Amino acid sequence: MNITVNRLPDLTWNRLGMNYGVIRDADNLLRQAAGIDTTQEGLEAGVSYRRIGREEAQRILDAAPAQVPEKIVAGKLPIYHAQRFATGLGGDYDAFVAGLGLDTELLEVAAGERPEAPVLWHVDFYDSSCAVTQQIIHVGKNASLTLIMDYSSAPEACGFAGISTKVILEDGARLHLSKVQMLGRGYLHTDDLGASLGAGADLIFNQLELGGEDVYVGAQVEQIGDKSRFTSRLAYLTRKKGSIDITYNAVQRGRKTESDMSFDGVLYDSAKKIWRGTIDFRNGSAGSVGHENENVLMLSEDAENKSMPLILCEEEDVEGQHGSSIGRLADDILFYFGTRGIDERAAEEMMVDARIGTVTREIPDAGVRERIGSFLQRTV
Amino acid sequence: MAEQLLQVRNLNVSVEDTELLHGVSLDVNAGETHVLMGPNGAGKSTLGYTLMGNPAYHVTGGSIVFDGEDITGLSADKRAQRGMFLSFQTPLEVPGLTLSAFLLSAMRQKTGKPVKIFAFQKELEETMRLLHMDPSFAERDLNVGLSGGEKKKAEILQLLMLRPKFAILDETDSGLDVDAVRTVSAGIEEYQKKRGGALLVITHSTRILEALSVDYTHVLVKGRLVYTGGPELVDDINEHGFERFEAASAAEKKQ
Amino acid sequence: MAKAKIQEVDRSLYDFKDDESHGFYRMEEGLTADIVGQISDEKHDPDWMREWRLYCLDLYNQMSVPDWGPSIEGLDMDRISSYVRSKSDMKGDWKEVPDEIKNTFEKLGIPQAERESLAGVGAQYDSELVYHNLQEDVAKQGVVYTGFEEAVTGEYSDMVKEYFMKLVPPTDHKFAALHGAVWSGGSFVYVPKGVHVEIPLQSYFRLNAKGAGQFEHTLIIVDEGADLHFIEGCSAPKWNVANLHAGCVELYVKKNARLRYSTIENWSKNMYNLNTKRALVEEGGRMEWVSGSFGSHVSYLYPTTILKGDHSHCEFTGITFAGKGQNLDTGAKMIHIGKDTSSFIDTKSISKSGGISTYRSAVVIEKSAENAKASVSCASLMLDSKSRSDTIPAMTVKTNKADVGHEAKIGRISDEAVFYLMSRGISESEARAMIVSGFANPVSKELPLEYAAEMNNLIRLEMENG
Repeated sequence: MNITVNRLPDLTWNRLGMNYGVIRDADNLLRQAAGIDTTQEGLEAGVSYRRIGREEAQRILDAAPAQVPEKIVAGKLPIYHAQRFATGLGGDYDAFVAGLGLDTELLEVAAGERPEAPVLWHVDFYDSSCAVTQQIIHVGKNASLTLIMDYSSAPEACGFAGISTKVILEDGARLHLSKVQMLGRGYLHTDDLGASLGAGADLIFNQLELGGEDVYVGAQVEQIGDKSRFTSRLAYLTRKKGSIDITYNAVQRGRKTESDMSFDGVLYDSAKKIWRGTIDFRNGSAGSVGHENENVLMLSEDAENKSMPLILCEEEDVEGQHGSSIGRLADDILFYFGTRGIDERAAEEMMVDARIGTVTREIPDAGVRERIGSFLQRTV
Repeated sequence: MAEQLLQVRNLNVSVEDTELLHGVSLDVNAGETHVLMGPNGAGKSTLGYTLMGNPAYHVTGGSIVFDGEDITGLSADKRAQRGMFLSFQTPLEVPGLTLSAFLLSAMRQKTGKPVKIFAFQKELEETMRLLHMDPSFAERDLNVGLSGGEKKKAEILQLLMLRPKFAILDETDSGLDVDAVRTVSAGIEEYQKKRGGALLVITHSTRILEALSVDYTHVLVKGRLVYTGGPELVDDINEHGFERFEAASAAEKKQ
Repeated sequence: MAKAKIQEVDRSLYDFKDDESHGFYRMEEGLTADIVGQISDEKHDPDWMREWRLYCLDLYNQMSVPDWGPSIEGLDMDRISSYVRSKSDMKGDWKEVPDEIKNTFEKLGIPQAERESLAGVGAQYDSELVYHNLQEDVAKQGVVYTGFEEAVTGEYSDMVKEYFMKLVPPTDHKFAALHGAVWSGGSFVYVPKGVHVEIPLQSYFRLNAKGAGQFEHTLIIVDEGADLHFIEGCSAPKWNVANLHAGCVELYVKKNARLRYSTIENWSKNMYNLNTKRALVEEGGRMEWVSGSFGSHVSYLYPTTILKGDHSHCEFTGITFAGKGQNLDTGAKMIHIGKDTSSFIDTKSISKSGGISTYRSAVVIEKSAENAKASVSCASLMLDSKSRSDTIPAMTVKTNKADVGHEAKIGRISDEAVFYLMSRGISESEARAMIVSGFANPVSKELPLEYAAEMNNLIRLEMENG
């Protein structure tokens, strides 16, 4: 059985091979996968952690602001996909995770609580494990949380590390979420995010994909409430025969919402990457603004890059903008470095560090930043 | 006799298929300051980029000798490592790369040795003070979010830190207010007088030259060096413009 | 025989289930080998063309409609045969011309007499003379410009056979196969080596005269070092009793040649415009597309350029205006194969009164295309919140020795701009029309003056409608 993930909200030519990603042999994964222990540090007063069953999880998700399955836009062949609490990887992946019958981890911040210290959420996949973890992060009204999740394993390990994270931000809530993937080089990694944002809610999302072999990441952020904001920065390094398949959708429904997504990647060796980034202005999102930016540095002539920046729009009073630049380091950059005596190789290294650095520095924990530094030293 | 530093001979330069410089020759000795003036589009920046080795500018004839070595075919980093420098009109912005990390890397590449961090930081702080730069700029991303004036100061900061033998300043004074011009001039003066560096100052105003001692002034018109004079030429041009040089250039072309 | 075979294929398609194929659906076909054979008879097709048509018909019956893009549910595929046959009804009179096209003519100020003559197929009008003069002029330089049927049977038949549907193979998509089976009318142009055709060639007179607009085939070969500007015949609004257009344009730009291909399309608004245009550019060649899409109910239109030769270059400049009831899915494809190839796409789209405009593109840099440069810039303008505008660009880069850039913007007419113009005494509607014309300016400035003026008129009309 194959499962399709990261489906493009509005399909295009099939022969380009960009409409969706495929995870092969998923039934095999389903047979082998199990739950895994996770650790949480820094749970202050007002922040609770517990494991819940499927029904309770569903009740919590259903209570989130207007999450309805949708598929049809008049005059177009079916676009979007039917999924009750929409995520980037999509409904097939949800069904796959549900098939494992695991508990859901629930992290809740009570209304009005604003703990200062970040919660550090660590998942160690050890050696050659095949495991899945799913969680709901629920930040109450006017509450605020900083959460740093990181996934690691032994450096040479292979296996399957699946993550499914659903985020509910009530009105006025704020979540600063970082996900750092530092898995062994043989890992199949899936990391899914779905988020539902109430009025004035603010989601800041940093994602670093540094290890693993075949990586699928998806994020769908439903900006339902007026003036909700979504800021994301994703950086990735893909090496050897590795691949990364990315989908980010900012669905701007409320009035005066803002989205700002940036994607920085480096492809080495014969790495392959597909990225789909969508700004989706829905009817009623008057006054909204959306930006997305993609930079891909290709450091090998065997690397392959596919990019798909969508802007979908059914509202007049919006402003959307996208910019992409793909290829080797531009001549004017190399020349500037050159005039300071820095050769091409060193310039490339500095630019790679700079790209990863812009995301790393946003992670508000020195220990995690150090671990990122040593992971990079070990692998680059 | 002064030590020869740069000899440019009969330089022809093309971008894409258009020739922009025609047979330019220029000699700069160690420690000398040369000013390059000329109307818009004369090819002043082209000359600066070519001397520094921008790959978009193709040398189709002539040669550039620096410090006794023909560098016509060298890449920009090799030229910089031999002691050349170019201050850009619009310097590069690199998010995620701090100014100090950038400088450290450049110095390491130049010497091939690790840089002594403490001494480096001390020198950086002192130089920034000289240029009236906020010390926090060292840890900010290279040129990101800086104003035009701050960017120019950051270029001069790099000039002072990297200690080249010969620096090309491309319109370093354009777009600066009076105070910033004064600060930048002080930085250049430091390079010129205390460190004995040679300069090619590309400008079309004279404000930046007031504090500097100029040895030669060259006038570039339509890709040709049409006149070379002393420091007095700067004032002359300031007063009368380029008209007579342009007329001379046109007459020369007719013959 | 043929029918039985078709049904077999049908079943196998239904049975074929692949979990990577989404939403394919099949439609009943209404086109038979008999009808296709009749076309061959009428056109006195040579044997190879007769066989070709039947081969394409077979492919057409096997293929599915796309599972992406605008819905074509409203297109009655059972009536395909009647669309194909309907050209004989083209002699309809002025009364049958849809109102909106009549209004367009009124507003464009085209005289009554001329309007009436447009409705009749055989009638003479001034432009005919212009066309013939032009033809004589270019003929002296050795340029060939004939109707496509003439070309298939005439002295250039070998050349036609060599190039016909090689660039757009019938296997490409269902409507290319349909085209191969039922093509009718169109133009053949050959510009010999080194010849620069100074005046643009225009084709719309020919289309009107032959009344065969729906499935026309255009084949242009610009030989080494030659230069041509071809304007596709949509300047005068066309109208049709049928509502399917599946034309095909194949352009060959040889070494160091240049071809500019301009189109202002204004089909009537019941038209399904499923047109395929493709260019192959050899070493040092230069292809320029200028494309305006104003008409049709549904459009699928993505002119494709294959930059095969080293140092070949392509520019695409396009505008799409989707008004009430329109779903226009337009864009471009650039395939870089040769070294040092470059391409630029610059498009504008406007959505108004419930119209849907989609910009769709693909830029592919193959591994062989070292030092390729590609840039895409697309801007969309939303004029109200009943409309829709989507941007779906794809980029595939298979070498790191390339630079690919993309920029997209969407927005509305700024209130400040409208206020500024109104403060100078211009009415609000006029101000908005001016701003939209300004938005379209990068396209109109690429067109010959009279076409640019007409395009601006079209924009003005669209602004007044709805």
